[in-house]
Amino acid sequence: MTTPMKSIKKRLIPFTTAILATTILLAGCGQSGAAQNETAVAYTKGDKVVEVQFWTSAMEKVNQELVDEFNKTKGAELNIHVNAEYQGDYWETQKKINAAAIANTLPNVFIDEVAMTKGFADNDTIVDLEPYMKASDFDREDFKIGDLGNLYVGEDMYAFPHMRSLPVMYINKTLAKKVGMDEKGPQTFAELESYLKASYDATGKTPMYLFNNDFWVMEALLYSYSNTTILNEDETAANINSKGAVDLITYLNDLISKGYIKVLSATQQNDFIGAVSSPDTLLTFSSIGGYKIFLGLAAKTKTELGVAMIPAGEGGTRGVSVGGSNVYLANTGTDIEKAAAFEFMKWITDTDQAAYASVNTGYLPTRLSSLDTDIMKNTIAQLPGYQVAIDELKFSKMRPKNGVYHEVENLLVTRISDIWTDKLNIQESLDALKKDVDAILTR
Amino acid sequence: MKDWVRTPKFIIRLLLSLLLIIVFLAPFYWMFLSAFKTLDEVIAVPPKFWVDKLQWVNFQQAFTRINFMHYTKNSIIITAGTIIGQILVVVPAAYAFARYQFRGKGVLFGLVLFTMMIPGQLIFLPIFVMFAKTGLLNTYISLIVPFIASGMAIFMLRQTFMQIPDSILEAARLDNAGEFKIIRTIMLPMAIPTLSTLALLTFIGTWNSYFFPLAWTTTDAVRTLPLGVKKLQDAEGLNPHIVMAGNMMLILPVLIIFSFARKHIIKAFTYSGVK
Repeated sequence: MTTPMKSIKKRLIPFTTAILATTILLAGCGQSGAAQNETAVAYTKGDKVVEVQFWTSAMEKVNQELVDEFNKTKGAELNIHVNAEYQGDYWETQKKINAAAIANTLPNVFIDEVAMTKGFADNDTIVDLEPYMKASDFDREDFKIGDLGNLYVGEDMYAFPHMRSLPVMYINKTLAKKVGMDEKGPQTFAELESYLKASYDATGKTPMYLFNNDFWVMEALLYSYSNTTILNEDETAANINSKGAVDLITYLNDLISKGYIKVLSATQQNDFIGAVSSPDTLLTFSSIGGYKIFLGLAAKTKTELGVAMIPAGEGGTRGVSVGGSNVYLANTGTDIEKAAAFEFMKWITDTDQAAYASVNTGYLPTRLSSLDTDIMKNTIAQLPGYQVAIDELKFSKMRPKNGVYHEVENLLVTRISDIWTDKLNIQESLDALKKDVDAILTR
Repeated sequence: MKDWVRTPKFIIRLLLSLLLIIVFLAPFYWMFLSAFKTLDEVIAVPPKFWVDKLQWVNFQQAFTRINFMHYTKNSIIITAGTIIGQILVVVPAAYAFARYQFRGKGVLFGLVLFTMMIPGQLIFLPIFVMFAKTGLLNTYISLIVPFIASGMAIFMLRQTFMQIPDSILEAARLDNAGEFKIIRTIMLPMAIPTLSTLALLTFIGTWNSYFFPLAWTTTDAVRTLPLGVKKLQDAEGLNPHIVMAGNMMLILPVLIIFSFARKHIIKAFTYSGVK
């Protein structure tokens, strides 16, 4: 689940500056990037306890519970002790990792957002996991749920998946029935408009809300509506002024002008959460990670909330960005410490732990085998929306890997919002936006 | 009613003042409301501008979900340490710049002013590296020392010291008063409004500081209350009402101290020396 509150501009501005400064410094420090030929040893238990520093980000409680369990069980068996320290949200942790890399104070292993793999690898902050997997005969096949692009740099795996989420469409089944629409929700964008019209005509209230700050929703809409992407394939230029992007923004703009959609800004996160579970809202796009929260809130107003896939575009195109976090092995410590940290990475991403993390957070499981665990089966039986999200993983796409994408994302959020609020010319605005994004990408 | 009360100028000023009051108080009012609401009330659409029943339990939750006392203790130590350290460094520096003539004085004072123009985000990294290499990360020292030589404080206090007439200092010297005695018995008492203001500004800045305590700590050992409140926000589940209760507890000391020091602040900015 993305945590949109993290994006409060007041904090983002200094942090973006800081990240930029550290990125520039790191770029000067090492450019060997992603071309390491690590040698790795398999962990062998010694007499002394190996201390592993583990920096966590987001979902602190569940991560701490997992670490406690490791220390009591596998860690005790292998003489490995993990110390977890929470470092803040994804962007704060990224900044601290970059600073620690320069100061040679990296933790042995850490969690951060999925899209950061390439940036960390290019700066030699993390190590190639291939030699470690080879040394311990690790089978990666079980990870194959959804797009795994954000685990790789080139052909090599640089991260293990920790928690996964993706955007889905929430549908107010109670209202859908009331306004004469199928409670399964719209399957295409053409149907989406007919749903919104039916609800608006019947109630006179805004039937759909978009949370402007949740930009991965826009990524998914761009994939699905226009079969295109925010950035080009090698992430050196933006596609944001392409015909597909202009068509999507025009389509949304049309729905906004008809009163069918209201766009909420970064400071209106609470309003958006309220809107998802409101009896008057028909549809919203948001993370599956909020499913349990939304269900609980909707139940209070006796609203039945369902989950559907993001609508498909012409020809059935559909794509959703996969968000969440990865576990990274930091480029620090002795061989034995690295091997011990890798043992912990294997354990925390293993079947039972993946299921536990999923059930207790709302994120999706990261292993095929975790779908067969009892707790996961029970959860899916009770909350069928999870199955929709798991099915939607078939259409998942990796988020852009470029190290400056977060900065790009913030710019896109602001400028696309300006188009809607200031009623700007769409093509001209997106042309100007492309220039600015390209300047960041090629800086 | 007096005639001037009815003038358009008065009415416009009154309306503008009211508008400003609303603009400044609205975020506080919203925080106050949210801190006392239930979750359902906080996310209600359309929003409610009042509270049906005060939810004191939010404060209890904010207090128990994080180690509130630990973060508060750290905030008190770091804030007090910074204020005390600043006084020890800034007073002699400001006195020297105000009352001594020495080679390079202009350049040095220019450097002091220059420090005010450097954004913290640019210096956090070299300082982080320095602390990491000296083993000072996650210590109170790392969160106090970088802030005690404040360019702003030196500048403000120097201006105040310069307004004190030379005749008073000469009279003191004739009475065989040393420099330390002059600072202690003449300069500091006459600069109390400025010192109070500086102490308050430092208090607010340090107490509310989020960036540096986050950037220069990797464990919870010396983390401060704003980071604790942020932890409430990052926690699993949805709890904006509890975050707001945490924020209320965070800003309460600032509001209390500000209400006591308000007069001194106004005095400091209007201070014109000996009448």
